[in-house]
Amino acid sequence: MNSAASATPTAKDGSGSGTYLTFQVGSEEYGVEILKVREIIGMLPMTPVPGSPSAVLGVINLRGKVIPVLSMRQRFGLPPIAANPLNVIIIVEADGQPTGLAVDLVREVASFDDAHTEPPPTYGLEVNAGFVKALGKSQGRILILLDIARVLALANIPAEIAKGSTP
Amino acid sequence: MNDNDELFKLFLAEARDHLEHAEESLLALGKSPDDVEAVQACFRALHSIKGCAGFFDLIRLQDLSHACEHLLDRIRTQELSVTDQRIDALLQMVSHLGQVVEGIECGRADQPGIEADAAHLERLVEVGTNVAPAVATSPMPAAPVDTVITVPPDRALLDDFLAEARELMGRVEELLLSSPANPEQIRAVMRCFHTLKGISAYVGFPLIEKRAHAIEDSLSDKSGTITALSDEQRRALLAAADELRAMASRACLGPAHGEPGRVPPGDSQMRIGDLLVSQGMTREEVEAAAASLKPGERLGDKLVAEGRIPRETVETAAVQQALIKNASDGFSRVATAKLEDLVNLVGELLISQAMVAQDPDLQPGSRLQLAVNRQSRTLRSLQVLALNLRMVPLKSTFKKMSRAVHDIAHKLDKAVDLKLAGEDTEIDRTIAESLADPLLHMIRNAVDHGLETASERALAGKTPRGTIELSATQSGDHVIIVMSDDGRGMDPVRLRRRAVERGLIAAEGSLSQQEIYHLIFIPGFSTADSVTDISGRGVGMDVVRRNVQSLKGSIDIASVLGQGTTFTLRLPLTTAILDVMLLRVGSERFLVPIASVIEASRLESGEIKTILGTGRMVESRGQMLPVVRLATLFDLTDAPPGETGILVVVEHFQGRFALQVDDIVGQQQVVIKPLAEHLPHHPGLAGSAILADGRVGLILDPNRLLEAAGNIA
Repeated sequence: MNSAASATPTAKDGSGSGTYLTFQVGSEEYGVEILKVREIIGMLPMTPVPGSPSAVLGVINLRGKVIPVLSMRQRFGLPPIAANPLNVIIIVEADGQPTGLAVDLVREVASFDDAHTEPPPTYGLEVNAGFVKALGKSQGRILILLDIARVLALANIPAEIAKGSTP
Repeated sequence: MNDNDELFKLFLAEARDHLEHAEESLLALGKSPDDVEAVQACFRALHSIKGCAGFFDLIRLQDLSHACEHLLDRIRTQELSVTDQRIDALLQMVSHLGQVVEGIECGRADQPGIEADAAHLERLVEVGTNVAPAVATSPMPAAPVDTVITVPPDRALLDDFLAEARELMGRVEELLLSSPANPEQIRAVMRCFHTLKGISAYVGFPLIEKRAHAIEDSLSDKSGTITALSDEQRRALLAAADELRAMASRACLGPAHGEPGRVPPGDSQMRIGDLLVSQGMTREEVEAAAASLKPGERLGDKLVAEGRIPRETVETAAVQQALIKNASDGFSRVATAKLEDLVNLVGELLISQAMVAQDPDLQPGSRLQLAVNRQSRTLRSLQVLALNLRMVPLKSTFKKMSRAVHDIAHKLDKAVDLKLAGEDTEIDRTIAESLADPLLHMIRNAVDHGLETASERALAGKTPRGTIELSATQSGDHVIIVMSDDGRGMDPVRLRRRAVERGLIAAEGSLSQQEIYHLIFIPGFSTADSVTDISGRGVGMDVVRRNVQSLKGSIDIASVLGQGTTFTLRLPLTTAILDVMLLRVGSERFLVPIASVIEASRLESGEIKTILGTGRMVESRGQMLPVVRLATLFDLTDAPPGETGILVVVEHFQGRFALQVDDIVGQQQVVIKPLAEHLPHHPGLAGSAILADGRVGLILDPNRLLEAAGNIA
């Protein structure tokens, strides 16, 4: 934890400043607003859901609640990797719906003020720029600060039409 | 700040309850016009609505309820007698009020159908014109909300007030104790006191109201809210919050005016003397009177007999005494979400407990095992209890039916008695809610078409009053609701002829009696000819069947021509629990409701026939059924290919089909959970459940499983 202040500034709309939980997927580092994060849990047994978007790994049982989990690798168009113990699920909540984000590993909680954020570039990013709220700069690293509502917009992910419809 | 929103919601909920009570008492009054308590109860209910409406500036609601209250007051004081017209006018007004409240609730401002108000008011005036027509049309001067309330506010209201007051003062504390005060925080503190002022006025605690008002004042100066607090001011505010909290607690225990009630808690007798002291007698007087009390004599009676206090004072005190006694077995409103969390956590507890109980290290007969056994028994009781929290008695659903019978019978000029039984039978809240509609349709049909007119009944040698019986009983994990009338009954021959005429069934087809009766559920079955006895039976009956089916219930009809018809509804006790069969496909498990499973058999080689090279069919009981391979349908790659495994024949709306799976794992009861609502998924999945190993299992919906496959048999 480096710059996490005690009085947590909230991420304001429009600008990217605020406090973020950062995590790594592939070689890049991302951030989600800390206020949207409910908890971080280890990997749990997953039940795949037929007919759901391919980025959905399945549903888990989180203390009796059934919660879908998204693979951030899939969501960002990266190939799957072998499971390792650092893999975790970040439970975020948007629109009152808890959803799990499966990431390679979590890193830290970091705050960004206006001086350390920049609007997203319009091209040249590996991920769909629509997810990106801003770019954060911290100790020479560049972080991609995510607009979580867009990442979670499952309805916008084309559902894989169930194949083999002829029995 | 949503304190006011919260309060407003509370008010709407209360208003609905009050209206329900008002209606109930009016119906009771209709049966026995001498029922003084019913008049009182109805008066109280409308008075409460008027008071709250005034607090929220809902002038219209206030005026309407005032008009009712006024009429009732004249009945109460025996200026007017109880007549059918008056009761009817009041009932109509009460249901009109219900609509107004509903309108407010749905955010339609406070405005729907204002023209109707005048008509209803006029009617009230009309039925009340024995003496001077004191009920003018609106706007009407509202009675001040906190004049002496002869009837103490009801317990639930006080409980809510107290909870609210405690919460507000807690919030004040929190705000004051947090960081250095900024103007926004001071404004928030002020709003808390302001809200407390409002709700105290509403329940009638003027002392608290004044105190809160004074504090609110002290927080503002000419330019608005003050922007800084000295340490001294802060301490004073904290003390004030404590004081108000204590005042609220005392006020809710003692007399309804914020006087510090001297109420010794835990004393079940809750001395009426103490209440009398707080009503203005001196302690010495009361004690002297109590000392000279003869055995069996009541203090209150004695004092009245001696002319020391007016009877009303004793009555008020007696009501308060009853309130205090009841306070211990009161109810609390709990958010449904919290109940669900509770059920979820209990479920999790059972799973983790099962892991311990099944651990190989657990020695049979050991001390540890005995403890584990005991734990699991307690846990099961806990689960039953948690699931029971969802259950509500059918009373309020049935109450709606009494009202419906009254209205329809009045409109049709028929005399009908509704006999209710088993109103205390409990059923899942969601089922109780979706039951009201179908029951209403059935009742309407029974009064309208099932029962004959008085003259027809006389001809048939029956009593002039028709009878409808509505009863509920629990039978295992189902609730049976029976509605029967002693009307003309249904004629299977006519029903059948009508269906043939309308081309709904073939003239030569054979139908069982039950199948013929069920023809009435076909939409529009008999609406064409409204003069015959059976005509109306079709109206709304398809709604009945549909609702009952969606609740996974069933409906049976029995009828004797000339003697009456009986509908028997069989509904599951709860929608939360489902008996399922666990199916395995590859490494995945799926659950299918037992209710839709017909049979299961091992798949023999060569059993599956192909039609035109693609459609796979299997013969079952002389019927060719389509075969659906679940692994193919859901694109599961780890299931063994080919013609192996088990065929499970399941039934859906339009017929049967065979599900090909790898194995049947077993049967169990599961708690149904929604499958993450915002997650797109296959239409054939109805929900999910946590399995014994803690993993999620998906529940299949046989009715929609084939939708994506485009293969409805």
